[in-house]
Amino acid sequence: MATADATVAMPRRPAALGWARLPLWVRRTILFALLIAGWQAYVSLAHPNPFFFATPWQTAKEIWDGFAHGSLARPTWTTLKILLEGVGIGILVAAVLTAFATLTAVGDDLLALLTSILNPLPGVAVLPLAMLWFGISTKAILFVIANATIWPIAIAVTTGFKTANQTLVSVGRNIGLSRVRQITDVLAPAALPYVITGVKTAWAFGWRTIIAAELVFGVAGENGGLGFYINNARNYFLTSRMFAGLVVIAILGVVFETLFGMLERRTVVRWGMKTS
Amino acid sequence: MKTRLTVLAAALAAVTLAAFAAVALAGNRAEGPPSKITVAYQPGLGYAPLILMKQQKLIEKKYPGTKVEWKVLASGTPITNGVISGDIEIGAVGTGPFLVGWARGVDWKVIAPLNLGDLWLMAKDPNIKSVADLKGKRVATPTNTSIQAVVLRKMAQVKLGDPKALDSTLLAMDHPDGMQALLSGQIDAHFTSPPFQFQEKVRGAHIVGKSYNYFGAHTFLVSVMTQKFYDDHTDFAKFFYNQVAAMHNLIKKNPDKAAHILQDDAGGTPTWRQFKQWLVAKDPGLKGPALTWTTRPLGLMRTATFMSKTGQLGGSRLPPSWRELVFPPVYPTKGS
Repeated sequence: MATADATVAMPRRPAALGWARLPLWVRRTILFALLIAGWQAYVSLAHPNPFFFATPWQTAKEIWDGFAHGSLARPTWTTLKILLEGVGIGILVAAVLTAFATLTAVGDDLLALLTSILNPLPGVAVLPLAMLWFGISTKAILFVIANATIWPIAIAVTTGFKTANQTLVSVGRNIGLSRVRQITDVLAPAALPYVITGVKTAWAFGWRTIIAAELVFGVAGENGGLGFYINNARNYFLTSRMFAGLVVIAILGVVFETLFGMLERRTVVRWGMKTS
Repeated sequence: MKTRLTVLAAALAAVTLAAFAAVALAGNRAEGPPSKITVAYQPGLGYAPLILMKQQKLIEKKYPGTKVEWKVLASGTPITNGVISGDIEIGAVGTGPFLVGWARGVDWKVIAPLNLGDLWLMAKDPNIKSVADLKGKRVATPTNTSIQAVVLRKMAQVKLGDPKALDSTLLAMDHPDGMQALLSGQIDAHFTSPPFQFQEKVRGAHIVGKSYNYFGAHTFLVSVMTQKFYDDHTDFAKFFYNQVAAMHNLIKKNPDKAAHILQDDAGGTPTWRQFKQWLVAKDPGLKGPALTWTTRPLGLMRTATFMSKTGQLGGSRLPPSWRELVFPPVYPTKGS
């Protein structure tokens, strides 16, 4: 993620072939092309069963067709929509819980206890129960994603608050900031690196949970998401579509990594709280 | 530093080449009797001929040198995957997944049809009286390529004018989960098979539609193997077919004994009396039993044609005749 003029933490030895001197996008593109070439080489040389391995070209064609005709676009959007909703709920609940934990000691203990009990539960393990409680509906998936996202964010935010520079906190108290203003003006900015990491982690957990839940859930037709798309491809022996679904997930992952990176560069990196 | 990098790169290349070589050379080479046989089936009464073969160790007795493994898998999809990957030699699946795979170029055919089956669409809510009432309601079938899903589309076409009318709320659930969901009210209808449809009927559900009314008497389950396996072990394949036919005879002529064997396999419940009742079950509205035990395939072409029309067979490749779908031992049954 280094731009050419950002601060570098450790001096690096000049690379043997000048690799590091190339611009970022060139390096990434070359590596990406090498990966695709490796994939194509495997298919051409080892001739795997076409039901097991699609070629890069077939996969690309499936993605193109899928987005042009909507058979892949709609599931992608469905999954993203549910995930955004779920993570949104997670952030809200985490914010409330964290505020409670920061303002009162009992809240702190409660949050620590809930986190240690509920954080280790994988979303897919909670899904059967959630389906019994909420029926076979989107509510069950939202519940499961919320559970997967609340705890990473809550942990991250409380850690951020607790590791805020005590000098700054004292300064805030000295100049007479109210408790609320102390949270918004001193603690929150101090905790921002942790918050962003927490949201990144929660997003990753959310992704895994929703794809797995959709594979288990299996709603057909217009309401299916990416997980259903992949499972459907499996039922119809369409391996290139399975690959296409996975590649789309990977691409979305890269996109969100980039977005988070941009957010970080504009905030914590600029403020010198994190080297990129 | 340069030397270290070169060594690392060479090691990486060597590992990759070794991996390619291993994959390329891997494979099951067998002549004569097979060295191993894995037979995979799903929970359900329709697989009774296989269970009877398993309990009586018929394959083991005739082929003592062969390692025989019987697997029960939750749905047809892992079975089809296993057959393609060579893990499973004989898979028992519904006609739906078999036809979809066949149309996609999976090189497999039916070695022994297991039965004809009248499959029932069950609902618990008394307000759901016909398929037309199911629009917008949640219906569960085993998978969306199962024979139940295919018949559901036919029902939708006949009663609602559009075969895909019920697709948007279709749920895929295996039989035990679907039964529980129907009885607990989580879904509105469950398109299932024996014995689950019998159990649901006893527990208060009613029949909304029967597959025989839309497709005529048709094959429900088939056992499939790849063309390669058949070519390599033709004698074994013939033997397998004959054994399935023999099990059919056992069920028809001696249902008590068959029921006892099934009870043993199930670990005591349901009882043999229950099994016997299911094996030969007749419903007053039916002309014959819900399950007919025969190796004669019926309705394969009719099912394939319908699936092709609704796009489930990938649009192309309709078999010219039913004989293209089965291996030679089945030809004399004059199926359809």
